[in-house]
Amino acid sequence: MNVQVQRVETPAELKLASQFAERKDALVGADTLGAGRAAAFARFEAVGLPHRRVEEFKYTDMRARLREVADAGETQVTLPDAQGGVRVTSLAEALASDGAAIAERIAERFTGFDSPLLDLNEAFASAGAVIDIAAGANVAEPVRAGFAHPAGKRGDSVALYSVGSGASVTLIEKAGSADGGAQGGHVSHVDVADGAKVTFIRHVDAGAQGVHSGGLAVTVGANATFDLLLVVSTGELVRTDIGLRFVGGDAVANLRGLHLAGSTRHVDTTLFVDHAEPGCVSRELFKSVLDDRARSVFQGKILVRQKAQKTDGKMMAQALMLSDDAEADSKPELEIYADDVQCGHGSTTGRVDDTLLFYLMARGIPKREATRMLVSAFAGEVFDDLDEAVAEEFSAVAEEWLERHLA
Amino acid sequence: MPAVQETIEQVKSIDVDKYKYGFTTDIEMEKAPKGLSEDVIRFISARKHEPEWMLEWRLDAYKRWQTMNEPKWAKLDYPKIDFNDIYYYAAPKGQDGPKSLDEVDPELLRTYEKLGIPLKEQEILAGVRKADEPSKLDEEAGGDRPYGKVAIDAVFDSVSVVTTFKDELAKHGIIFCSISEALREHPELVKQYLGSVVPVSDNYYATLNSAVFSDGSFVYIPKGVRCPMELSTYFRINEMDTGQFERTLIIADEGSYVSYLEGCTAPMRDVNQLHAAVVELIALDDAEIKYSTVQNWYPGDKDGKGGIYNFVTKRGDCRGRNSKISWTQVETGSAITWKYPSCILRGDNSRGEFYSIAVSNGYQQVDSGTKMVHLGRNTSSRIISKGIAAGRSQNTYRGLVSAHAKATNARNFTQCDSLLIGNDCGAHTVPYIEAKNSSATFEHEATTSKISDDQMFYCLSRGLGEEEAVALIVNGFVRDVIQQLPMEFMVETQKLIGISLEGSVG
Repeated sequence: MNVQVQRVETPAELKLASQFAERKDALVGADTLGAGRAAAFARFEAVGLPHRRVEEFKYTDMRARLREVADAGETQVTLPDAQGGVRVTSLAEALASDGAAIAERIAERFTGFDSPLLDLNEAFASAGAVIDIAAGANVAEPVRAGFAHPAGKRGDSVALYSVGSGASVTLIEKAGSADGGAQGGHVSHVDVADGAKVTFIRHVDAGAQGVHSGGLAVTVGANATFDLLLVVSTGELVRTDIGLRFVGGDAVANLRGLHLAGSTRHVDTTLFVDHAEPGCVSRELFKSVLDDRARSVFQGKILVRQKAQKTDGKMMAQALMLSDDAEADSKPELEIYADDVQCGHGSTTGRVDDTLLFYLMARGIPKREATRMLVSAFAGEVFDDLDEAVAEEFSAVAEEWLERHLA
Repeated sequence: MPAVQETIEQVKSIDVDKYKYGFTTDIEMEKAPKGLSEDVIRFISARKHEPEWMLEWRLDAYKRWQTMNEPKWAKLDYPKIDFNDIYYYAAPKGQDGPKSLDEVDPELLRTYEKLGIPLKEQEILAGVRKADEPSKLDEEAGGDRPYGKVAIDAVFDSVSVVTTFKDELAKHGIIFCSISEALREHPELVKQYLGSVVPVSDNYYATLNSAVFSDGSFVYIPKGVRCPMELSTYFRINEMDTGQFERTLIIADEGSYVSYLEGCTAPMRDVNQLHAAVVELIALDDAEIKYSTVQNWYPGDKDGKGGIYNFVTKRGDCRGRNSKISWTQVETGSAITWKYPSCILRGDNSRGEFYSIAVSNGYQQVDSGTKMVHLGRNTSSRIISKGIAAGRSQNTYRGLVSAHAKATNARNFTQCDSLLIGNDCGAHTVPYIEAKNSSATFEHEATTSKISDDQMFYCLSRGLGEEEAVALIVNGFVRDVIQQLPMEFMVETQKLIGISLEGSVG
């Protein structure tokens, strides 16, 4: 009785299809990754670029925003320096030595929801890194990797991290390229074994015109601790899909994020936390500071499965708007099937508090400086539990952004 | 604590899974042919002696409905509904909006007695039967007991069978009648406001309702009038395989106030029945509407068989400055609930409120919440939602709070708490918070927990049984919402919560 609507492919979708047809046999590891890439692209093609009628993309209409697809280019990968307990190989080397295992790890991506953008990344990703931390290793220096997408071109990269049981490490990656408006995405898979302690930082710096669709797929083993900090400082359109699953009991995840956006930028972080095992604790804190006509989106979902008793989950999304035209959307969701749990979420949206501003100004601090102090205190909460040196490095990113926007 | 005592007694007196309104009334019915077509719509419209424009309106809605798809986004799982296997119109035979109770089938009156329509209402029903002195009784009631008077519009399947207290209300210029009567008597008001809050093609079920709605209530409160009594509609689905599609339209003109109550029940049947209502509220400058619902449709049996599918679109439009709309709902019935009473805060300084208790047990599925759309300046809204899931039920809160670019100083406070009783149920929260204005202040908090062992131990050690203790704690948990209910509903609600949670412990 009802009229069925036929999906019309957009020029961007058509171009992606022709790019895939052209490039698929020439991409690194075509023999081992070929089947996975074809399957991923087929999944993408079946639904196309996600639009606002797709629940997870309700606030980020990729079909409307991605009108033109850039030509393919090469992604520059900066591999971490050698260090005790850290084994680093480029994606190409890893595929040459152990292709089947790598293909399996890439195919096992967990995000908890269908993301056509991550499928697209999987179909095209040809550069990347495989980083393994040995069991029990206590890695002193942060392990830093960079994934710079080509200026004015399109690039996709993937990183596979595995952290052995009982190891302790800080992983820092910088994704996107600061100049030239690259298009592309970077997806990291992080497997945290039992009892390991990982601090993972991703800084998305996609440049003024850049379009970045990233992903993070994390599994956390029993008694492990996983701390995340996501900082998005530039990029015309940045979307990050994060999926985290507890695969062992009594683990802890601290997920934090900071969106800094001005101009007409659009920053979206969509998160899914799967409490599949009992006794795990998750804390989510996502903050946005918005100026001009920028828009920030945070969608977070905590799923507590029936067996995950004694789960403790708290999610918080806060947005601070510096201009009248900014927009903040948030959707913190809870889906709970176990009865002995404590879960909560909160969300606040507002501008700099006039009373606080008055308090500072009454003490002789100029308005601009007072605002900077308040905003910096608001944003700074996400750096609280980090090592001092790392916290300083990223709070400097926030400070620099603030200096520019409050000028 | 007398109320709690009542809950306990109620729990004792009724067996598990016993739905007390599950009787059927054997009454001769007139039905439209099964299924949906233009002919059925013409039949309904003709049966109601509607003006030509109304028929056009319905046919237009039907055309649009055919191009729409059933929404799938809600967290509900049910077999596909065959919209052609339903009677869209069923009316007690010989009834066409009776003027006095002489015309009402005694069987119907007995039904209302069984439903426990407020006792004083039964007096009134009896009083109305004395055709020569109805107004005297009205005055008596008015003079002696100014508080607690309730005027009732009773809707049986597709037709409004009786409306009480019309004369007294008319003295204040208040119009309270069935919507089909309003279409005949006050077409200009209906034409001006019908569909102005919930447009014809708003959503799948609202569009279906626009095409086939058969009856419902119409209320108009004139300028500056404070409605002297509670207005109430009582909905009852009786016939097998019928859908109920009622439409309620309430207009509060400048400076007026009205409190409106709605109750619903249905017989126990093995098959699922469809209920798709549309409620539109319009509050002009300085007006206030308080709308309370106790929804107690048949929820299905303990194996999840049968029950009402409840797909309802309720929306209030705070059109004028300083207007206020407040929704209070207690949801305990229905196999499926899909319901989001909303407020459009268009007028400056307008205020929207939503208080909800949703209790689900057995295999019930609830996906309910609200939308607060801030359009005007200095608008504020408040959402308090309490979800209680027991048995194998799924209980979802889904709510939207949005501030548009011109909604300076919009304020919202949302609190949604969920309580899980047992390990086979689910409680979910899906809030959407959209701020397009930096001066908007939105606060949202949600918690999910179970009844703590400490609380249970405390109650048990004082000699309460497990179920009594649960009812006591739950009543405390939902107190914020119950306090918003008119007195008549408060006691009933506490009873209902006792019933719905029965069998959930142990």
